[in-house]
Amino acid sequence: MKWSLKELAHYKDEPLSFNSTLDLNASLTERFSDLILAVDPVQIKGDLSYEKGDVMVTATVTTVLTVPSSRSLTPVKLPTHFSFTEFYLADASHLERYESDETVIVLDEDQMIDLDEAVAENIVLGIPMRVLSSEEQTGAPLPTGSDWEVVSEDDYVAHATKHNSVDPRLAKLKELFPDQDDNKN
Amino acid sequence: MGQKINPTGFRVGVIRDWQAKWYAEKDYATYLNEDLRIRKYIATRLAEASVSTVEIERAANRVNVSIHTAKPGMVIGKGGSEVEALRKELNKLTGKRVHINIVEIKKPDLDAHLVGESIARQLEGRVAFRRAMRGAMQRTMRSGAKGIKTQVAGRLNGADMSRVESYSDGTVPLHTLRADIDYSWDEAQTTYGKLGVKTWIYRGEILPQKKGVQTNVKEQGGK
Repeated sequence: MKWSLKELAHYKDEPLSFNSTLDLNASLTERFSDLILAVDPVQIKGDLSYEKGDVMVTATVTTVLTVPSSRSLTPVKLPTHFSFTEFYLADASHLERYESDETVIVLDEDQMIDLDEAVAENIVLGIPMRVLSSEEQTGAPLPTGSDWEVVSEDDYVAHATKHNSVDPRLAKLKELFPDQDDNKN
Repeated sequence: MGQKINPTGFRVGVIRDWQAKWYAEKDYATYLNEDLRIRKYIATRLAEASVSTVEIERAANRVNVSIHTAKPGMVIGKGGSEVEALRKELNKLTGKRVHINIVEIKKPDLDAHLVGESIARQLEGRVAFRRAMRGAMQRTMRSGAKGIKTQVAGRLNGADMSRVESYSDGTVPLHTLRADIDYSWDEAQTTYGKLGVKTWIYRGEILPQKKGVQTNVKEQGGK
């Protein structure tokens, strides 16, 4: 779905609503092959409103992604549902109208708003870095092998803390300075 | 422009630990060189595996390498084939027995290198830079960070003239030594050239421990 800024200028008084299904499987799996294995048809619903030469897009996206598990690389179904609001500007000088926490995109020379692209990029941005299958989430044992093992961060920190304790042969040194802070408690 | 110290180096020995844990006298140069070769090899071989840090410990004729990663699956490979091959290569490289710990990072969105790298990969995938930066910042804040700052520099959106844009959310108190700030610099190779991505993540304060007991801010009489 693409609109030019000129077309959208007709929607000054009331927003342009859209409700559609997109097929982004081919484009997303090609561009982000290491992140996404498959994308179900994407439902999008929202509207575009035009004001003072800029366009505000508000959309809700619903789909199911198939992504590799970060622990075992097995395919995991990831239901995705999110909303986003973005502002498209015809001119970079309009940037000062917006707060720094708003997503603002300055349009290219062709002045076209490509909603498919916006939805695709927001889907990619929403994929968590850590994805686990249902078995992995319920505490399946971590893989190990000869001279290698996978450990959780908590176990690693606990193990490191345990091994950082003072050598018992040097424990006697603590008695040398009894008035020091560490010995007061 | 003020001169800026690297936030990680500034905190080593105060709230951050070293990434190499060994002691040597006459073999110092040999071990240091070996460490550098191990790190370089892992960085090249596991470039796609979201590796954050590599810790190296030595004991007698044994080297313990701990690879902190968000994607252990990429490090292990199918049925452990990748990690087995990596271990053999490291054995050959060092001439010592190498043990590999793959540490699964619990909250990758709080790791500056992983966040910076994800922004860089998105920029390489032609995602709009403001969208990529905002997306990463929102995820980090949702994961419980106290603040984040990201900066992208170069020919943004393929512009003729390079520039720098940065965004921040929350606070990033760089002068506070007890503030646990993770910092990373990463690069995105785009069709218009390289873009630099800097990331600072403030994860909260770390206070000194006494006799292995974790103390909090109120007990210390802090703010």
